[in-house]
Amino acid sequence: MRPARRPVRWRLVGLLAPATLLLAGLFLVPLGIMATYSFLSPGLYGGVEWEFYPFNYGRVLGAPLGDVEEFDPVYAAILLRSLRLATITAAVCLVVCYPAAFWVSRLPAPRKNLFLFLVTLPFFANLIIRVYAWMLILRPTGFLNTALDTLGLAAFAPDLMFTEAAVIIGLVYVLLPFMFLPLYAAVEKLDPALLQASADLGATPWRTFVRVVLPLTAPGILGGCVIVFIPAFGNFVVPALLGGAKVMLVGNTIEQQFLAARNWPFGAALAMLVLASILVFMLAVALRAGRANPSVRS
Amino acid sequence: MKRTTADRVLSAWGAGFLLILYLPVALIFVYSFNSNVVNMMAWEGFTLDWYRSIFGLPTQLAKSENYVESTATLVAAVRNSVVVALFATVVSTAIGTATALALGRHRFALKPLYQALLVLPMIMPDIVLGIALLIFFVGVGVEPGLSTIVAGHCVFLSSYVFVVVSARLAGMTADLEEASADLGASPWVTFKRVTLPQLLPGIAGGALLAFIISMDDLVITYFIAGVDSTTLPLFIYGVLRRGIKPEINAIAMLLLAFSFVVAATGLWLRSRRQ
Amino acid sequence: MKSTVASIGHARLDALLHIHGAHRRFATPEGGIVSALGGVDLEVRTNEFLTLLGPSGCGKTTLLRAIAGFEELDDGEILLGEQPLSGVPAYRRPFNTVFQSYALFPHLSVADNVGYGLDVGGTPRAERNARVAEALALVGLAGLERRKPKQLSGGQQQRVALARALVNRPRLLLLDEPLSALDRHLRQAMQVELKALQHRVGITFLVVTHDQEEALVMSDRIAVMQSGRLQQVGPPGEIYDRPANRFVAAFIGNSNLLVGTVTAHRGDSVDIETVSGLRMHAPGGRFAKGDRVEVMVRPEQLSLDPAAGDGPTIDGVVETVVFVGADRHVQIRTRTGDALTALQRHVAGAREPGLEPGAAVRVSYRPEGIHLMQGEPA
Repeated sequence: MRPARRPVRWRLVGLLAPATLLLAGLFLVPLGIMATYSFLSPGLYGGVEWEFYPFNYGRVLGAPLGDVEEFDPVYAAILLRSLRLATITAAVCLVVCYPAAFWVSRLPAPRKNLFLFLVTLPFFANLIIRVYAWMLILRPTGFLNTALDTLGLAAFAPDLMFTEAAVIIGLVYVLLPFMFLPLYAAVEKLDPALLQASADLGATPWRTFVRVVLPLTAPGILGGCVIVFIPAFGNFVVPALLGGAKVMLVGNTIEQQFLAARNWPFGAALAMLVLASILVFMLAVALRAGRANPSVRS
Repeated sequence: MKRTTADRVLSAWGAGFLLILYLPVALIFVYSFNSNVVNMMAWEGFTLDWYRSIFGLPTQLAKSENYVESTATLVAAVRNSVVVALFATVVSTAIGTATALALGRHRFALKPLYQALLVLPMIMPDIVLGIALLIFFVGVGVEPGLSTIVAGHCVFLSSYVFVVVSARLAGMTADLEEASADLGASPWVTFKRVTLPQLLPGIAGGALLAFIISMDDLVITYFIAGVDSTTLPLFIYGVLRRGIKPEINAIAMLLLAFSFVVAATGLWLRSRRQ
Repeated sequence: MKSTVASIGHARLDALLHIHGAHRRFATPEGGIVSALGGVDLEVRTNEFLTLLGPSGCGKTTLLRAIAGFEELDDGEILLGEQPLSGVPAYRRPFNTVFQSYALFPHLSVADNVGYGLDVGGTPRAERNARVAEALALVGLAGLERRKPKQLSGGQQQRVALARALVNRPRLLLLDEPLSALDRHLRQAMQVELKALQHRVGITFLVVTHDQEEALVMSDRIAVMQSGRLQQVGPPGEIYDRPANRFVAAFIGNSNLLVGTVTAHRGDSVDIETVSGLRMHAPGGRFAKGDRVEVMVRPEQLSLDPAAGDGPTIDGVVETVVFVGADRHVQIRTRTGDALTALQRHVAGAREPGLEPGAAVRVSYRPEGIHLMQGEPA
């Protein structure tokens, strides 16, 4: 039926052309240049020298690449710390949001919509304002310590500012809606009849949770963890404002290489490592999801 | 309905969840009216001076307590932000909508590639895209400024618009378009009189989202802004890096009020259509 | 203890479940209160097939859910033998449910769905597998163990739901509209199969349905509900022939319902006159002259055969004739103005003379074919 040679579909070409130009010119090409830079040697005053130089990666990965000279354990530690804090952030977000998602899903319809609205709204609030709010709270003379002081509990006043705890609190706060929405979608899809069926068949609430609720909401859990982990891992605003120089994450380090140290190739290499870590993380998640639900593949 | 212990725990948890979400923001609101100039977290009395000071109006404050050096810097930052957001929104809405139509109403071999490519700018950490664009713009010799910010924003805003418009498009069956064609309308007439009017709420939603995200963006802008193209988030970030002063509360409140009004309008419009 | 048993008497001994004064109220979204159960007393007998029948919203599903343990009663109690079930969570009740939506776990295979109750109950693996296989064979699904619910047809999913409940050997099997999602042919086949299955496994079945035909086909006893109250409980034949009131008469089967007054009392039977002036003769020794009565005549009790016996007759005119396959429904307007429907068996090729609309007919009936019920006082 189909003609042997399809005519050029001009309408489709026209619709796709702007996005193609945009993504190629301002996304793929810049990423490609960045990847190239990561293998060049740094110029004296910023910029690059056009010669092959694999040691940008060696500085971070060191020994495995057989490069002990340039290796500086500081950077590996920063990368590991970023991974650790992002993992903790995702875990805390999950623990906070999971019961909340159940709570919202069980509300009667009009109130449910109101609370969904209230949960979504902070997502639109300026990121920097939300971080600033926690600066107000956590500073040594901030709301928390002032409140404790007023209550006569000054002895217990913690100095949280510029600690890992502060960075985690800030990341969790900023990323909560990202965890909540996919979790809520999964919980909302959960058919209450399945929970009743489980109870009807003799399963205690805990067993019902483990055997029915958890497996059926797993896609939401995984999805939420992915979209919290990624921005937490590469974040630089939160650690810059709440972690200061004491809690350097990979995001701050990249920024430093570009704007202060002016070692662009090394900054580019760090960015490539961030991308690679995320790629590995997402592959792991996809594999787990695939194993948990083999019918998806068939 | 009988309430079980589990229900009560869940309700308490839910209430706590909302409290965590809103308490920090509420604090800014309350303390933006605090007249204590020495310790901004110790309540002393009500004042509008911080709001007055950011607009350069006369206040009771001593000159040394004024932090925003000149209202002009702030106004310039606001103007830059709005200009960038407007241009970036218009361009990315057009690109995102066209792409959504291409992927939603056509079949072609490269579709999965485009789908994956469009998601990437949204999930990639901002900083990676920021430095990639910085290297690129410096490499091709473009002077950083408002135009580079607009171009950079378009890269990821187009993806957001694409997602919102695609969702709307997926919810529309092809029936109406087929009916229009059946009644003798050319593809262009069908698009103009059937597809576009139906798609409009999705396009408006996508544009609104793009505008808010553009106004909000700090990280990517941070790397590709020029000396005199400071946007509002950049301005606030710069101030915060130097220390906290009460005026920031007032600026933050105005900015929050603005985003909440825009977001609430968008969400309200969406809920009304359902 | 002894005195309790004595006072309960024999009737309670073969009863599995007692429901006393069950009340349940719900708040409506508009802020009102609806009574889903308005004081229900019912006993479920061991090994019977009992059907709760009623229109949607009559409270039958609420009662089923209260027995299963998904709803608490506001008032009243449910006893399993001597044991009150109030406060016993669903997972500790020895009942299992076949859900209307089947509620099969989408992430588990057919075998794991069926084995779920045994798994959480700690049945040893070997016994569990044997019983799962047995249950699947019982419902005719052997060989589909590894499938996921989504890969099954609606009828197969229904059988998995049945096997999943039966495999636990519950004291009572609760079925919530079990056949409503199936198409007509499958539904009719399953009605017979369910009944046979209940016989074979020897488990008490309590079915909720709104389909009166289904109830008549399957049940040992039917409990008819309306507006949160039981209207009548009895075997299908009794419910059909001697409905307790106008609602039951109208809800089950087709019926001609007229309102009349007893005009004369002659031993076991009475003469009645309907509001329009139609005179009829019917058994009804319990009514006295002057009583208001509801008169029910099933269409199949009215004969249009001119040669039919010497019973009483009613004259009228044919209004419409509706062909429904096995029968013709002949709608007749009597001389007094009442509308009656009579049934005429369809015989292929034969066209009954005189059954054109407008033709005069004489309807004959046997007085035993008429059922009288207490009417509202005028």
